[in-house]
Amino acid sequence: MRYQMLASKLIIHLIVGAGALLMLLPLYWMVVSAFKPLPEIMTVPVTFIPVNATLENFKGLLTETFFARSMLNSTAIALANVVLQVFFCSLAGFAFAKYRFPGREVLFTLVLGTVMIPQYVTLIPNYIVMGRIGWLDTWAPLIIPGIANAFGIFWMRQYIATVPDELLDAARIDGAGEFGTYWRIVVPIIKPGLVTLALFIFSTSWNEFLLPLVYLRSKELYTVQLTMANIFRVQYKFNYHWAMASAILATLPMGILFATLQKQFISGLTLGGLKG
Amino acid sequence: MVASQPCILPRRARQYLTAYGFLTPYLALYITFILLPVLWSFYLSLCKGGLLSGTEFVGFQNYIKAWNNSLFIRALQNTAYYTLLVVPLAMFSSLTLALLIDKMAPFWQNVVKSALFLPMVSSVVSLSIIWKAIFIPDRNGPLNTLVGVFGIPPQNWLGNPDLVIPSIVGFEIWRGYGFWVIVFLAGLDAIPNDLYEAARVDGANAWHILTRITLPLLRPTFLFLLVMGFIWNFQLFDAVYMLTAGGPANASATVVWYVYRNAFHFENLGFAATMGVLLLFIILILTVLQLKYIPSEVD
Repeated sequence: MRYQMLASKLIIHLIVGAGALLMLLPLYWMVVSAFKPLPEIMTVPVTFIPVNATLENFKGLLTETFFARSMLNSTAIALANVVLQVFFCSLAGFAFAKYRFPGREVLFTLVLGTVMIPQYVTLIPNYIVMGRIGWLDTWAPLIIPGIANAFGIFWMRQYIATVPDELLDAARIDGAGEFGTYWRIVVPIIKPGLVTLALFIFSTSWNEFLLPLVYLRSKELYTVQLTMANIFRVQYKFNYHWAMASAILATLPMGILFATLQKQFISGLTLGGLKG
Repeated sequence: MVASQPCILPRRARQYLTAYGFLTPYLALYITFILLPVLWSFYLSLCKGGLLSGTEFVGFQNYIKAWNNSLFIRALQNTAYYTLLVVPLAMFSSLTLALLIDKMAPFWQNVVKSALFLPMVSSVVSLSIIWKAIFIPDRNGPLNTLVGVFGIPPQNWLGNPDLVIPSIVGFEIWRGYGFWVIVFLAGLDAIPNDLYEAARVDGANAWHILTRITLPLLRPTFLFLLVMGFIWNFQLFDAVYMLTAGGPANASATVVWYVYRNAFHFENLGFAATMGVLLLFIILILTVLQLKYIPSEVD
């Protein structure tokens, strides 16, 4: 009986282990391919360890394309998104969670209802608006509309609702003022929730593709995803060696964040999935 | 009493003002970039023309045009076919894995979870690059080498009209697998342990426990994944853009792909808006039907 149990456990571990390895295989292949010269990527048979390992792909990518610039661009855009969305969503979430005012329920329902509206529905009218106000080919359309992040508000309201009212009242009695109460009492308490939301916003912004594709024209303004797609598909017609190197570098920031903040990341990703 | 009355009103008014003050930046952007655009989208769907030519009101013409447009119908069929493949396959395979790792030691559970998460933190663009290479139709391409081991002849994965959607399905399941597994693990976690113990005391075997306790109690999780799976997959775009550009011969064109092409390549903003609105309604109707007719209650 005991041996049977042990054997079945071993088999399950083996199956799951094999499955996990299979899942990782494409990523492993990306890493090794980035260090192979182009002919070797395409050759026979598939090599799982680079025969002629080289850094040329990275060198070419960084010197001959806009990739390095794009990494900086994406970082700037993602940080702007994080700061603005976290600030405004937590502020609005605070209002919804801790204040009574006429129209509260109606407004909140309206906000929640838009969580389900797909991006492509608002994209066409927004594109026209951006054209009229001269924001095409700038970063503004990638940053400003995103502040109205309905999901962020919902998440922040839930989180702030758990802050005890007594703490807020105490701060008010001490003369903190309403914004001071938010800034000095609420924000420190909800820090874990803010970090999760920030990670979610950062990864969404970093990996966003459709918006930059539609709004950006100048290569100097391209985000990393757009440059990658461009290197791969348009400009050089399936240039696997540079593309693989760029895929590694573009995933690196997310990988580092993931490794250091795994727990918050998992709740952040689940959050992202809920948003769709 | 008399003295306190004038004091309460200003305080309340101040509360209203503060709350609206905190909400104003958000609400202004919300109205400008979400609420009005959605309404405008409905209006645009009744117009023809584009950015350069200007738009002109034409009533329901676009809707009739969409109905008679073979490419739109094709895109709709492709989208439905794709979704109907992804959702059940992802559901079945992720449930299997979740059940297998649910009882594992936390260490191994975390190892597996990390393996699943890596694709989740990467972008569709970078993952598509890898898979485009994996799908290389050459007989020495990675996937063809792999299937060759089982004696299957090399395939043109993304170039064969019959294979292109199943290939994209494989890619998207791989990409989203981690999320499905975590949601199932969370659902399994929520099932009280004493139910299992009671069943074991009654002498139930593993199969009975699975079919009488675990699966019925996972109903809310199934429903959630079903609804979300339909909502996301009906909007497939990035992978199509990267892997096939809708080809070969529109065999992998999805609705959002076709909307994108019409809006930003063919200058058909009105027609694009119409198709977008139609897709939105289809998604809404499917969601409502699923929520209404599929039981989520645990009996």
